[in-house]
Amino acid sequence: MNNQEIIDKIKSAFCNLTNFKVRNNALEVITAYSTINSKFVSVFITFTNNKIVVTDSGWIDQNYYDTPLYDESEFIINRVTNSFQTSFNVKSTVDKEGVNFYYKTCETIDQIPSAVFDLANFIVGVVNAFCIQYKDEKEEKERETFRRDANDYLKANYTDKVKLRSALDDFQSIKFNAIINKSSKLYLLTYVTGSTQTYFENDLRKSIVNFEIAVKSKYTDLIKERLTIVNDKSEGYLPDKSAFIFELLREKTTREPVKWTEKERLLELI
Amino acid sequence: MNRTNKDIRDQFDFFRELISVDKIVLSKTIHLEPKKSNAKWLTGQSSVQHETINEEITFAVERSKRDSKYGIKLRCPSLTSEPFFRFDSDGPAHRNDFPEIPLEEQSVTTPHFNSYKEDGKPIAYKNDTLKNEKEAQIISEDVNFGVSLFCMESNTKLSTGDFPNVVDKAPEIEFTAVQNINFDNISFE
Repeated sequence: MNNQEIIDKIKSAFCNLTNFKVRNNALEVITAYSTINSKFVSVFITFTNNKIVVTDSGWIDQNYYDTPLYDESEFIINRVTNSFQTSFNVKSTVDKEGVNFYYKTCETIDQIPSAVFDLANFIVGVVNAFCIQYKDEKEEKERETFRRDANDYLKANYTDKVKLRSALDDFQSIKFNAIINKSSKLYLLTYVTGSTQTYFENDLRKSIVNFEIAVKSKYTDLIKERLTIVNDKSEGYLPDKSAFIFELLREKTTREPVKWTEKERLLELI
Repeated sequence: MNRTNKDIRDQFDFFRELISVDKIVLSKTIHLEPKKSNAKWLTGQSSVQHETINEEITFAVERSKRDSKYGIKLRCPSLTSEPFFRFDSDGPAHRNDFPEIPLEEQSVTTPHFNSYKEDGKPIAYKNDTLKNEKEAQIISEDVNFGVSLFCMESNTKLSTGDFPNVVDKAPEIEFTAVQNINFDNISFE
């Protein structure tokens, strides 16, 4: 293997990948940087008002990179954009039609390559951030289905005695999935589910904390049972692996966790 | 990011038939109107009748009011939600990210067509007309030239054998064939 041959090949391929389009108002550099949705990033060099400006020409804002739109990602994308702007020292401005331009300015022609390099890296980062779906759809769907099934089951059996997503009066911020008020006694219920062990254990921890706080309520004497319904059909239900957290939960509940496949047990307890 | 279009991969014969068999655009004129979801774009479309496939197919044109960038798309919603064939007059170069293509040839600048390979991976390409830089420039500046080229490439035409004509329903007074961003009007610190 000839090292020099490889070096030359890589250098020439990288170099030849960079392309240019001469436009009326700017020089477009089609850089060698590509995004995860297979777009090569372009930056535009223009001389305006006695300044050399390197800009994205509003392509990010106008979605010329054709990224998917995930409504719930806005917050995280803003964070990513701000961090990258700071790191690459990229400024932004808005034209009269409201389009956002990201840019860097140069004092001399010698500074242009460095500005192109920075802005191209910035655009890759931001466009890639747009491409990712942060919300775990499978998890959300499974959680929603289980919550609805459990709610329906309780509603069917305890009708107006059950209050869903409810809190004790003195701890309004601590919501239980359900509170059943039967014969002047309260039954607190939490649901535990998750498509992975992590999600499942997060629910377990939440139940532990909620019950811990519940016993500090002034209504503690009225609370007859503290119960957890676990979705033993979910992929995150791994009782052996989560044994330690299950043990902690048992200390905070009044009964063994009720498995969803044995939900009739609830009817005996309440 | 896995950009494989599984719908097209799984029904590739259907996709091939969609493209290769003759199609008739039913409206002689495509009127561009402001796009509801994006005020900076105009859009217009027509139904398409396929010679052998009896599914809903649409031919759509979109044009930016700012810089005359336009796109032409053929859709068949029963196959896939994405357009199955596209033309981009401007915008970023596409990367044909296949190991058998040398890196320096992976970049396909605009204007270009977007289609799919048998494995459902998107692929951009230029036909002979677009490979000619001068012709490519003329096409990228005039949506009606683009429509003609697109129609020839995708075996689509009017019942008369002509190509559909794109017109602005409400032409803007300052509209010219080529619009450019005036960087002097933007305040760069």
